[in-house]
Amino acid sequence: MTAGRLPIAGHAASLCIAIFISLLALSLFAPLMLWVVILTFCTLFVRISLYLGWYQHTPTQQTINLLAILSSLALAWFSIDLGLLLSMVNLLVVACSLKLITLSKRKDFLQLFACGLFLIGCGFIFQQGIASALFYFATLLFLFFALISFFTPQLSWQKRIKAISFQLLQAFPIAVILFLILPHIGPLWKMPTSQMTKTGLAEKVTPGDIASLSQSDELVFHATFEGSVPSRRERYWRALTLEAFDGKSWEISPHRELLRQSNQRSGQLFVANTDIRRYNYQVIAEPSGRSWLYAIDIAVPTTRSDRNQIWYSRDYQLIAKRPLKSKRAYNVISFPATTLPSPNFAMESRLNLIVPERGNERTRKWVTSLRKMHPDNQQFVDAVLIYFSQQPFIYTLSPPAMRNDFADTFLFEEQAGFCSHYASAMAYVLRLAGIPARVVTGYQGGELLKNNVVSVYQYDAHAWVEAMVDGAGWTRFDPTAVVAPSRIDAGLRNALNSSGELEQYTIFSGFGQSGLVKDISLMFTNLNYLWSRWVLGFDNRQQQNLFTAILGQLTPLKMSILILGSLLTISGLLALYFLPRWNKTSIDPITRYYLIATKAVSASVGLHRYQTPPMSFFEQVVGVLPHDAARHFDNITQIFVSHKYSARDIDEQNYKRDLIRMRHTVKALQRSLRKYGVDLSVPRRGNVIF
Amino acid sequence: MNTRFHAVVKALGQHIMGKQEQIKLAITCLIANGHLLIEDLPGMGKTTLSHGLAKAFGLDFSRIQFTSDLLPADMLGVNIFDSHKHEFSFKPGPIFNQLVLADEINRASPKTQSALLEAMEEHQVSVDGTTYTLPHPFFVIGTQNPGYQSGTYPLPESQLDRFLMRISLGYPNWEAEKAMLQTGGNRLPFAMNEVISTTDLLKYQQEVNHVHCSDDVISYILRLVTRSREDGIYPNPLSPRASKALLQSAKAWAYLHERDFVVPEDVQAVFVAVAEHRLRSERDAPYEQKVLSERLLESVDPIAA
Repeated sequence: MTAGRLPIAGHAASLCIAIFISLLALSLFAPLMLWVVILTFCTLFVRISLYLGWYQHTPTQQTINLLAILSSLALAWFSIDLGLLLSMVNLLVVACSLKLITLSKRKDFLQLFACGLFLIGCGFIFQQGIASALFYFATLLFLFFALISFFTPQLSWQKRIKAISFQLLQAFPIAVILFLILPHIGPLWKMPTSQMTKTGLAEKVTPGDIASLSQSDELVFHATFEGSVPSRRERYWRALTLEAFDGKSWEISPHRELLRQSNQRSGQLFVANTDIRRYNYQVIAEPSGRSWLYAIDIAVPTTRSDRNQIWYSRDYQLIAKRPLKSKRAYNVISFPATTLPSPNFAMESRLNLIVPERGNERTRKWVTSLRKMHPDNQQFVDAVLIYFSQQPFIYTLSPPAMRNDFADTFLFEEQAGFCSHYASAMAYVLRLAGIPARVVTGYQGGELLKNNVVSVYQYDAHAWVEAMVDGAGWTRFDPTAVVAPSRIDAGLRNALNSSGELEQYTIFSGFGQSGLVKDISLMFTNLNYLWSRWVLGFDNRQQQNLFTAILGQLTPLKMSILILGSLLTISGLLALYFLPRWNKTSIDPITRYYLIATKAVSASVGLHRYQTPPMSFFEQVVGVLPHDAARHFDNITQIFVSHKYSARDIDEQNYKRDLIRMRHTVKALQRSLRKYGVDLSVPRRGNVIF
Repeated sequence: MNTRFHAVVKALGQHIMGKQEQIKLAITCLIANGHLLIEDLPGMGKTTLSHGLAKAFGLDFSRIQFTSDLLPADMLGVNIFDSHKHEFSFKPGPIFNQLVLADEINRASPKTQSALLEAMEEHQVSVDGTTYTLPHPFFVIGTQNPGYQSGTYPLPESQLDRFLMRISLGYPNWEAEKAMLQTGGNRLPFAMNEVISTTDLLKYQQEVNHVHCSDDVISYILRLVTRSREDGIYPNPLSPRASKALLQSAKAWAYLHERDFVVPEDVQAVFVAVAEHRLRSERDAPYEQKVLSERLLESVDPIAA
């Protein structure tokens, strides 16, 4: 195997690595282009047919070069759309596939092995769930299997698996300890931004939008509370504050955005006045491709790293500095308050009174008359809520389309809709009445996964209203709660049940069932939560908690002792394990010189020694060596044989003398080989007396 | 090579043509004081070789043709009642010779086979409670037909192990067979002179034990046997008896080549003959036998590294 060339037919290791690359290409199906996946499977087919002996030869170098040029052209063409990261991943898979076709040398195999490890790393850019972690672990095992098959083809597969398992078992505790104690430093390079699909809430809400989210049972985040969990009624998870209204849609005010950017540049932090009652919790958010985070008002990021990474805006949003491309954990303290203080009363009230000048005439008239009856802001708001509760409003996920003059149609004709309809209409009405109001989107409620863990799914998406009733600040009003209290008290499922719409929504069809399906799905959710919380979400803070649990009060000295101590213990144990092996393989100087000499000789003669003993090897090469080189090599072989095998006793002095002689002779041999290096290809015969 | 051994090889070579290597191995086996198993198809010169060896070393020779009805007593000897002296006297069987050719050993019943193998191991036989010592030197050449021929009882692995070496003569090449036919194809009376005396042979057997074997060679032998035990592909790994046999044969081979120390070449030269019948069981296809031992040889580097 050391000679380099691999056998073509029946070479199991080549087939294994081909299957491995195809599996990985399948797992990367979304980021890869279809033709790349097809190319990979074509190479798998080539490898299979070579393995089975349908073909005897790998395709020629020209074919591969042509393929390589064509694919790089195609990649270059598509890379404009794909962005840097995706084109690089595609490039890597294409390169692996092409290498797989030409795989014929030991070097090729080792390159493919290294690329395979890198591809597994790439896989984790796109998926981090427990299922994909298990999948990639399995592929990693398979890759190791390919490697061990390559180096020990004579072993039975059971023995190979045994060897891998044994080594992995040894490596596992080390990996765990390193994961737990090594400081989690940030990545050394930035991932090029990929054009990831964005999920979840949108920056712009038009009444009717959130309904599509309601049909998705994707997880949005888990929140793990330390201590008590707020009641379902209190769990309003704010994501976005929408202040700009164009008569139809609500979105983030551009003015607010400019303000935020200038504040961020100048580093003017916003500190909200906070109450004493508080909830302490960690949120593990699923990747959404967006930068806003979720929290219950009034939220404050806890740890220093979170404070560096999360901007707390003046409209009470938590905004991550970088979009959520992967799972992300952050720690928050919430101070529940009925009124959110307004940081800039004049500006905010101006911003939140803007309405289009025309449209919705009927609503305008109604608001004017209602306002006359209730000049007090609080009374007016109550009157609007009473209107919602007294009129026959229906909570439904499939309301009729309301295109023109939305407020008129919704408030007086259809009177059917869901949270975004109610929130949008109410905020509009309040603005018309001269009360600053805005729409907030986010999530409401969430399932209690365990005692202190809340999981929130996309169907928990919600929209509500914030209004400035008096000068103090923003108060939350939820018209949906008035119309369909069950939505807030018991979740969407019950709200739909009471409106008789449950059967239409398939995501809930298996939801309330008792029995095995529910148990399994609950178990899986639980497992995924644990994985996110303890493995993916293991950050500096959790590490510090762990250290505190072990050491008590933390001091820098204790921490460095712990880290250094564990590192030293691990390396010490590894050294204990490996040192005897190194010693065993360390060779004495005479053998080393002899091996240097044979290497030089076989390189210049083109005849590998393999397992030939010294004297026979000398006989093999003597005919083709130049005269003086042959003489030197004869001397070297004789010294080696007399030291290693002959019966004579060798004292220290003789040993040293022979060692020196050996060194000189090896040098002389190398010199003479170099001198004749040019015409060594022509065999010379016969002028050596043997 | 020692001139006297060279003379033996040359003399035997006149009768068995083109088989220098096998003749040398047979002599090696003899001076290593081990028994030899020759496995071949009928008519390849197995009998000629053993007969020639006996003559060249001046050994008493007997031949036992093994058949399925051969009883241990036919081979070892029996007590016969002497009517003159009124007592039983022991009449030794053909095994009481210095060189015994056990022809077609795998045709005999297992009972007879084990009687022979016991004698080989103990250098003595017991008949009716009395122990009789076998002559010295005592050397058995067993021949056997390939196992797949009908009417054979394959030797069990434990008994194959008793033979120091197994060789196989094989077909002669074109030239050798032509020369054989030219000298007269019919069976000539076997004329060969003693080349080495029996006393000298005993002396050589003693001297073989004094051939030096360095730690490096011993570790090479150990690496070979260990590899056969650790790799999963050898159905019957090499036993400590095998490593002892390997060392003894390598010493004899070195002695044959007038060296007072063993080099890895000696181990390699005898390895296939010593290891092939131990590595694979008798039930496997006999013509694949060499593959395993050569594979083992190729997987271990004689130079420690």
